[in-house]
Amino acid sequence: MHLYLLRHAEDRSGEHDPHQDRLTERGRRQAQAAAHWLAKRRPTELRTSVLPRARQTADIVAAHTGLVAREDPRLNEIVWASFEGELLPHPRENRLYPPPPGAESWHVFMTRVATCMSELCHQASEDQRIVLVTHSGFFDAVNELLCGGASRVELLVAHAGITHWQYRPGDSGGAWLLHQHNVTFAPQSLLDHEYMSAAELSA
Amino acid sequence: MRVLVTGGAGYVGSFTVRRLLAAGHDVVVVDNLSTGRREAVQRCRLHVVDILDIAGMGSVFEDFRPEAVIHFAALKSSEESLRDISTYFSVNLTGTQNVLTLCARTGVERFVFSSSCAVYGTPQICPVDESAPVRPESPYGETKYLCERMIASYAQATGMHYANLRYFNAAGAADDASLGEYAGSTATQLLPVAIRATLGLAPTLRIFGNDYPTTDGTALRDYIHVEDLAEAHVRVLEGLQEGSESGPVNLGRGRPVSVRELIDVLRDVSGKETPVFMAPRRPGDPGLSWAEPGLALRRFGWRAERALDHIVRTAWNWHTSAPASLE
Repeated sequence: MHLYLLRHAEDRSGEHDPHQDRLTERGRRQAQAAAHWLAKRRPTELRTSVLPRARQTADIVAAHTGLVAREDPRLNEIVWASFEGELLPHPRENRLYPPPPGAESWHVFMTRVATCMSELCHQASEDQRIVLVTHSGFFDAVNELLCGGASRVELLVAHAGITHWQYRPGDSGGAWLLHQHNVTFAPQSLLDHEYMSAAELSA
Repeated sequence: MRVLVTGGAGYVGSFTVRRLLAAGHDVVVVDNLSTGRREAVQRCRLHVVDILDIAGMGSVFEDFRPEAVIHFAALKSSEESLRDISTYFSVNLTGTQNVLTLCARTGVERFVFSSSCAVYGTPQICPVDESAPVRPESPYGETKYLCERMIASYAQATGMHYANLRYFNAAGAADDASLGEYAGSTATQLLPVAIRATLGLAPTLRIFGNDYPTTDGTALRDYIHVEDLAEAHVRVLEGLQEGSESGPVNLGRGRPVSVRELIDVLRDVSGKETPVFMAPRRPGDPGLSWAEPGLALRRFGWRAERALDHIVRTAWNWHTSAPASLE
């Protein structure tokens, strides 16, 4: 089973007008470039977080691949905010203690991610190529679940960045193979598929 | 081979002893009979000694001069370990250290340890393989992992070959109902507890959590027949003779089964409904846990052969034919 984790494209921060696209114009182009690259991998399934910035990214991938985007709230970003304006530590430094009301601890978030990933593994077959449209926290959680190391490593993931994992049960070299991390494209380079690093993109 | 089995009068231990004898090994059992049963060990010598009694244990080692040790003797409840940390660390760690000290002193060449999937803890992406990062969630799981590390250190110093067998959920009984699990009224293992409720010996089966994000909302576990586990111990012990690499090995079927599915199979086997009561999740209970058992196959040629309905049927036959097993 191949898993393509796609981070949502660039979105508008702050107050959001419900009649306006959640993605910025640049975000739409990022999503189109990623969708173009993904379509060439002939994905078999498309799942998405229910949050609008991910859902709208997934809609663009759906249009390029002909797949129907299936919503799965387990792909949502960690809920980490205080409604009382309290300054919170980084969620990865607050692993087990009760989070503020309505928020998730990192442990609870990891459990949600693990459940989602385990279900995919349980139903896995060799020819599956699944796109998961999600958020940067999900990339970190998957990495930590598979590799350990607690919060020692944080992953940089650009808007519309893609990480490609392969699940190969029983392989003596390792059940999980990381093919690529944070693959990103310059939107104008759709034709030559030029890779760009996140640093180059943000420059 | 001369094999000393600590905790050999317990559930998995007694099945393993039977298999070792059937395979022609010379077996001595050490058990303090705190939970083990004298009647579960027949046709071999039983010494009633506590693993914390290093002098008593030393006599057994000196007399028998084992070539191999299978170490089962331990306390084994995650729930209980939260209430009694000191006893768990004392029995499981000091006890294991005593056994290892005597192994080193008498030149034991092979060591098989009864570890647990509790070393993995949660959360984990399942199936878990032996390379998964460990996150034990209870003092019990911690002791099992610390024992694994201690065994590796002793083995490195002495050249002993070892395997840390990480069991998933042992269940089932002998085909002829001659041997099985003794699960008293404080037991927490799902299958005997469910059978107790089905027989009307308990008012209901409490299911802890029906809001897990699984197909039917109940937790997923990997149940493995005790005969398969026993067979694995013999295969691994004999495989270590050939000098294979030491380390942890998962023993599971690699098939997740929900609590609800298990109760459905029990209904089919028993012809009776199990009265259930839905309770909230218990802290520390993993929502899902199942094994990637490929290493045991690649390294020792072992895989679990017995299906879920066989597990449930043999457990039902055992507990209904031996009512004392539920007292």
